[in-house]
Amino acid sequence: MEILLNPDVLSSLWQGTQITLALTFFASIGGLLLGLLAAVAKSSRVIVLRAIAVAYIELFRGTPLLVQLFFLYFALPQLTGITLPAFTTAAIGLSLFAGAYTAEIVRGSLNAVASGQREAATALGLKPLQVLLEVQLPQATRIALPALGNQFIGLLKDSSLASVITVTELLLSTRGLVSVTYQPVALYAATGLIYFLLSNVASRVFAVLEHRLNRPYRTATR
Amino acid sequence: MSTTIKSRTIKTAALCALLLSGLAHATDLAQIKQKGVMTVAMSGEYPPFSQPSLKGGLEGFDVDVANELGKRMGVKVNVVKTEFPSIIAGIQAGIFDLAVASQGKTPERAKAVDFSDAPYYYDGVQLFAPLGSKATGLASLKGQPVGVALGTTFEATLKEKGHDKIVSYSGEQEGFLALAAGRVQAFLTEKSVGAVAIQKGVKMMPVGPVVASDATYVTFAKNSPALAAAVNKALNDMRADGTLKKISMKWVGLDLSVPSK
Repeated sequence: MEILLNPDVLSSLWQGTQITLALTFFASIGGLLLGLLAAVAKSSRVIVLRAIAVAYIELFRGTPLLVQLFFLYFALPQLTGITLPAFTTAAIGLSLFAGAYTAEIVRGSLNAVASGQREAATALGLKPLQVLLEVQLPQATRIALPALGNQFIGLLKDSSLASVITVTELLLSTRGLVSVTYQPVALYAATGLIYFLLSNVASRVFAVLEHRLNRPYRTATR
Repeated sequence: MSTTIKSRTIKTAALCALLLSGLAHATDLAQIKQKGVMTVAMSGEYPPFSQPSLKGGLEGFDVDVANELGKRMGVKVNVVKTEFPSIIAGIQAGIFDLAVASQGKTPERAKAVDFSDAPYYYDGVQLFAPLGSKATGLASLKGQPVGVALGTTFEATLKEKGHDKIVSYSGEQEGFLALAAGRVQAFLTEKSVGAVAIQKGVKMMPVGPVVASDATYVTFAKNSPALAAAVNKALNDMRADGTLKKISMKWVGLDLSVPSK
């Protein structure tokens, strides 16, 4: 266990943690944006938009993240000649993956907003985009939050797959340390604990957000 | 009440201690003979030394050496494919009895496990670059990404030579893919591993002279004198009677059982 007191080991774990957090942050923002677009497109009346959204969601939900990352990292440069840095590749891959799942969360939450809300907003003369952004989405956000929290925590741990494409996030940092110190027990235990603490903080943040967004509903029922 | 809790705690503690000591106990020859099976670790992703066999399981130089060692020591051999960086930790934990995994000797590894007295093959560390590359050696690649497999002596060599942009892959095959995808400008590995990859159609070429000579050893847990003696004897006999040379010719097409001149 004294290996965990070694400053080099600690700084390596800390650097890995920072990269894991950065990757999770970019991927959840990217995933949320892609998910919103895909959800709206899938609910659209335009058949082409619907088809694109369905194809995207099914493709990225239906293949393993590991295969997607390998494809983006190794195959894409050979097919297109575009070589993105490993971190960017991982952030894009995780965003695409998360977006496919988020799309269905967002679509389900939008559907859960009472249809009277949209009808009333339209009757008041709001344009379709205004109805979506100012009436439907704020209410859908509250409904979507628990599922989005799940998604975020899942993403935090899925980011460890970026290790296979040389992104030195927390897991690859640990594997590197194990390969020079031969102390797998202490190191993997420490890494597991770091992931656990991070997800725990995330679930608390989501609990606070949920509490805040529930405020109007609590006062209304009183 | 308190006494039952106490005795339960003691029992649990004793059980834990027993389990831990079982795990941490180095396997020596007597235990292996008692089991009748020797568990031998290798990466399985290092052709021609270890690679998946089309008939299932693994095959290669290292597999043949492992089986021959078992035959001479009078035990069955169970070859286990495991991630290269985890092999030494597995030996320390007593999960593997031996590793015939093309491992070179480093001071760090020597602190963790014991090595056979003599290497079982002699090779060299070689830089490989894509066809048409203008690279002439490691020095010409300053500031450019050079790939290497994680936890290998090649990685240590690259760090030692002070290369400034090292990219670590989980194995040689990912490294060759990265070379083809233009992710790295060169890849450092065993000379014969690269040569076989080129024969198999990987589009790359050796660049510059051999970076360092390399020799690989059989490794096993520390404090296992009987096992060490048996492995050393079997290995010496295999070299003396030409078995090692035969295995080398079969897989590499060269005699690596003795140092090259």
